[in-house]
Amino acid sequence: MEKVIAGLGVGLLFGFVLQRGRFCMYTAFRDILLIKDLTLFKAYLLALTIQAVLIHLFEELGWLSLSAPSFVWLAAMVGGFVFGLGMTLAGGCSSSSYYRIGEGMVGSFVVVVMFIIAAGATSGGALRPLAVILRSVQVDMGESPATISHILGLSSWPLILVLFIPLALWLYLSRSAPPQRGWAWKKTGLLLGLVAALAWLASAWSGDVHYGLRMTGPSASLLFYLANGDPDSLNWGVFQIMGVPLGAFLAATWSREFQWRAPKPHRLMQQALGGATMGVGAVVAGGCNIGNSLTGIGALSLTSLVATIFLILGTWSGTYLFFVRRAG
Amino acid sequence: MAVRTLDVRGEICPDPLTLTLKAMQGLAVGDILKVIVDSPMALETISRWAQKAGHRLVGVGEPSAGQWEITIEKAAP
Repeated sequence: MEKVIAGLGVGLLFGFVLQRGRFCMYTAFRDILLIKDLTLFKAYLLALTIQAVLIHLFEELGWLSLSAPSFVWLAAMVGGFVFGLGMTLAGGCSSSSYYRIGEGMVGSFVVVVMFIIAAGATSGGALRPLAVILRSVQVDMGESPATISHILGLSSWPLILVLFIPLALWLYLSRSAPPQRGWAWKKTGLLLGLVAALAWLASAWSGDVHYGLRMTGPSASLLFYLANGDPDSLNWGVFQIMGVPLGAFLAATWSREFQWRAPKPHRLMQQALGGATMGVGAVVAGGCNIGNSLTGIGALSLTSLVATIFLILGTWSGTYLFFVRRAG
Repeated sequence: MAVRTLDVRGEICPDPLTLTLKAMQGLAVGDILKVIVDSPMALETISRWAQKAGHRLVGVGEPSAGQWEITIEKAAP
């Protein structure tokens, strides 16, 4: 029962904030290249900063235990890049595809269905060998966690202070064009950071593995549950991903923005291919733009940092190949 | 002064934005582009780009729920 309450509660809040903030990490990364605009990227950095400080504080208080996956550098590079390419075809990241179902976007629904199938297949099905082979290449760090702080020979707090305090100051002083109907980036970043930190507490409270917001693992678990009916697959994350479109639906209805919309058939197929590519890339990299780029980097995971760098490179390559070149 | 309308409803990201960029290239300074969008995300990105690029964001209308008309006046580069 805790899993349902914690998962749906966090998911609803997450979806609500994503919809009002029009938060999409594909757009955030793409616009740096396409129109040299940092607005959404700044919202992401703000959310990352707030979450990183809060979860390390929670750990200090004994409420959480943070962990980092092994340093699977090759899988992070390949998976991150493939996921980035997939986002450009899908027209959105995994979290924005989930939330835009709640705005009535049929294309996003197709992306999510294909993402779920591909994530399940790569995590525990036909494509599993691909993930296993790529993830077997890793740097042995012995007993030490594969964190950015460990590599630099620092403990977490000095790194957080050096990394995030100047960043927070720059973000505080920085300005962007005002929004039209959605929230300003500072409000979005602040609330997203708080929801991301709350997600860690919710996972701990529900008795699950301590981890924050994520989309990929739960998407695969949802497929396993649907296919096998095994209730053990229903972790808190599955309820969290289901809460996202619901929260976005409430936000979109409240702001009179809900409307069924569908792209042209050939675009829908492009999105389907994008969703599948994202599912494969995310499982190989051990997370998507949320599990790695927001939650993982917040916990200072080295794998998540490498995956995010390659995710951005994949986004830029895809944007150039599929859109900039074509637009001439 | 010419007025051109661009309908990007049903397009997926980033096409609403790239089609707007392309349409603006074909206009003369002082011309007006009206972009019709049905995506809250595209509404924000296109308006943000127009202001950042130095064009005049004349206004944003909402002809019906979930649809917007962005009016941009092309400025000198």
